[in-house]
Amino acid sequence: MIEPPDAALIVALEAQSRGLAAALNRLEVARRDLVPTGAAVWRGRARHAYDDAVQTISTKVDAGIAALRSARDRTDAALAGMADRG
Amino acid sequence: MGDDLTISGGGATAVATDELFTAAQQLHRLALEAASLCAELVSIDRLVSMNSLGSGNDLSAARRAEFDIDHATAMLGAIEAESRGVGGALSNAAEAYGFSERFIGSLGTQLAADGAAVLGAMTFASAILSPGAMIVGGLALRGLVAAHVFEGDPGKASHGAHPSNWLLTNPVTAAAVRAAAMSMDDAMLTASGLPLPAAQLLGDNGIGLVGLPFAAAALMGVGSTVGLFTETQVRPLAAHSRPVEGPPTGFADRLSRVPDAGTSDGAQVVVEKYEVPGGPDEFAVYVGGTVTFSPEATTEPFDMTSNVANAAGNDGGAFRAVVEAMRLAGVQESSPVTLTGYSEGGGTAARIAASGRFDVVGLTTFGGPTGQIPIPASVTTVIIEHSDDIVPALGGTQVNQQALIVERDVFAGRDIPTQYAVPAHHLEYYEETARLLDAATSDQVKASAARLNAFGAGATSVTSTAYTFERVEH
Repeated sequence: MIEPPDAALIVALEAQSRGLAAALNRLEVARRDLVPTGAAVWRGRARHAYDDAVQTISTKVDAGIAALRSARDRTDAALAGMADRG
Repeated sequence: MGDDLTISGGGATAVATDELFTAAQQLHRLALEAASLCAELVSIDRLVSMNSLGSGNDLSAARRAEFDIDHATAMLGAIEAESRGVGGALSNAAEAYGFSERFIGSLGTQLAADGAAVLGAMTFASAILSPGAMIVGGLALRGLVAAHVFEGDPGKASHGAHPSNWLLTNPVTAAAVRAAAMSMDDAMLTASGLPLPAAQLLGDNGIGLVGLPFAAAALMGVGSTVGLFTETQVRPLAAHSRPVEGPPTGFADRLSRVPDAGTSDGAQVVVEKYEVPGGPDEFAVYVGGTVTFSPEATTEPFDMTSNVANAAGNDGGAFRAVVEAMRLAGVQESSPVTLTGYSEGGGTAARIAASGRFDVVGLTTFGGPTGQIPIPASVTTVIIEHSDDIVPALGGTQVNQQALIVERDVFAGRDIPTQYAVPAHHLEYYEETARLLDAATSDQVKASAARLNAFGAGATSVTSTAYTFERVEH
């Protein structure tokens, strides 16, 4: 037997969804504006080291964006499932 | 490399390209944003506990969302640490570069000063400074003047080619010229018979009692004995209005308003007046470059005599012309003023700012010999120099470290045009640099640009007047 949805949990999940959406938006803006591009000033090994460091940061920012998006989508999916049971 | 802008000053000790500063600032902000988001996620994570989600299949998506939040939090922590580390490394690199540059610069200046002092002592020993030798030297210089050797601007195109102008167009030569300019006083002191240690004590690397201004003043004193570098009064010759739409909106726009007496209407100074409702009238003053490099003062106030007077800290013909143009335009002592100058105009504008006679709030110089002119820290100052341009190097070591100093090695990685004697000083390349500066993204550049561009904002009436001056004959 499926239990009826908990109203307090719905409110909490809705707040979580909104919070995750806002955080996702901020991180996407940071990805666009704050991850450096280009390294024309560097030469040789310094350029490789700099490129690698920026690439590492980019990869982690992308992973953070993916995790936030997934968290938001799964929260929304949970809310949708609870609404169906509603 | 020719398009890289090297940024220094602004009260900081770091030296780096605009790109590097921008990257360091981006990473610093990214670290702050990641830390803030991390704290936000910790709060979000507390909204729903795993216990409240139970173990049934119906809330499995919500449980997986909790794991995603934990993963995102871990990523943000890593982003903060990485960004802080790389950004810090960039800042440290800029600091280290700045330190190395200053250390090497001071070492070079010290070596040059010592060498010049020894040379001066040898000169004294061989009695080259004897009255007879001075007369011969002075007559030789006068002969060159008579032959029109010093006519024209070395930054401008000439009919002949200059296949060897690369000698004058590289950072090494410019650094040597800068060191030589700073060493003139040492050479003069020892040449006059002062012992080497005493000259070193009095010079820039000692207590600083004498320096480039002393050397320039001495040059004027010696030159005047043979009719060279002799200052005169100036008088206005003509004034006419110029079309203008509003205050300048950027560095390129600002430079485009600097008069070029050699190619336009002969005006050397332009004054724009901004009538701002509810406030005093504001004025933007634009000062052109050297018209003649002859050491003999004739009718042109924007000449080598004024250049040397600027270096000596005296009121030269160009200085007097700008002050008179400002007076004619209605500038009061309390009127807010910004100054922009190219070449000699930059040095003259810096001298006006340093004089304290006006309420100067902004100063922009392009290729001006400004190094030893102490500009008040209250003036928003942007000094733009090409590191392969010998003209700003003639001003000596840059003392205005509170100013934003922008350098560019114009011909790094590209051919040097042979139609100019000193191509790195040519206006065309400073216009290029100004456009690059308008596109720069580092906080230092954007902050200075914003302060300068705010000047005259809200003006309901803008007028522009161009002035031409001439020297009053002796």
